Amino acid sequence: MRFVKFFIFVLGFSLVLSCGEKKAEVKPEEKPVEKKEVETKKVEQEDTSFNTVMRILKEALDNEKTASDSATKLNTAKAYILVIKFLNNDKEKVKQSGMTDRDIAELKQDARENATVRLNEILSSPTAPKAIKDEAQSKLNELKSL
Amino acid sequence: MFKKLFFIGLILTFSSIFATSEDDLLNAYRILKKIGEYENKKKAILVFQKFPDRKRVIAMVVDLLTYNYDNPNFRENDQVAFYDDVIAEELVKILDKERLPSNFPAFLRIVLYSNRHREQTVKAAWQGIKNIDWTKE
Repeated sequence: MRFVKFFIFVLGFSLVLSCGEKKAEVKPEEKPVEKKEVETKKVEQEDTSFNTVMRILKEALDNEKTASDSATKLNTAKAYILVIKFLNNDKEKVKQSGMTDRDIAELKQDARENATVRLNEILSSPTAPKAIKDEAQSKLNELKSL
Repeated sequence: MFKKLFFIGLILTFSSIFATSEDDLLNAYRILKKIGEYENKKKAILVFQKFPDRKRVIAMVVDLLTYNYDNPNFRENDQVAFYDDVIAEELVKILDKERLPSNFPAFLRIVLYSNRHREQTVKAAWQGIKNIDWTKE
């Protein structure tokens, strides 16, 4: 009788464990959903429309008049990168303004030069925080691909 | 008959004195391409403001701002560079009045290289960008 009880106990316990395991398997499936949300947020932040890009560029350049720290330089570099993306993406405005291929290439080169100068200053700065240096490096890599 | 001819002659004389001719425009453009000569440039700006063919004037102003008033060695304490940039500000204002999308490249270049201009010129360029009427052609 004891053996039967022990057998039922083991059987029940193993069932509980196996059910528990099933629940544990569900959890990892939820994590990728969270990742997807983060990715969509990143895409939403990358607004390269005319008004947004001009507002961000103006704010960044105005801030640079009063501050010269690495975070401010990084923001300005990001604004210049947005200008390049605007020139690449907003074909309608670019066409309306009558820009030639040469104009576009020159303006993109101007923005690239301005961004590169700032990112290199951050990377060579002994006082810039590591997180900002890392972001500056990733932006420099992004800049090369634009 | 004599009176009519007299009045026509009078109108022609006045219009020849006050109207801005093609030669005036080209002369003004030539002066504005030079470095310095602030007083002459102020007169040239007046010609640009008055000339009736606005499309031609706009094309000239965009060209001047892009190739003649973008000074990489700009310093506020350099008198010639400073007064040339006062003229650049006037040219930006001429463009701003038209509110054309075709002004955008010249304005964008000024704000991208804001250290090549006085603060007033950069502000005028930002105002110009803000005022562009994208429905115009």
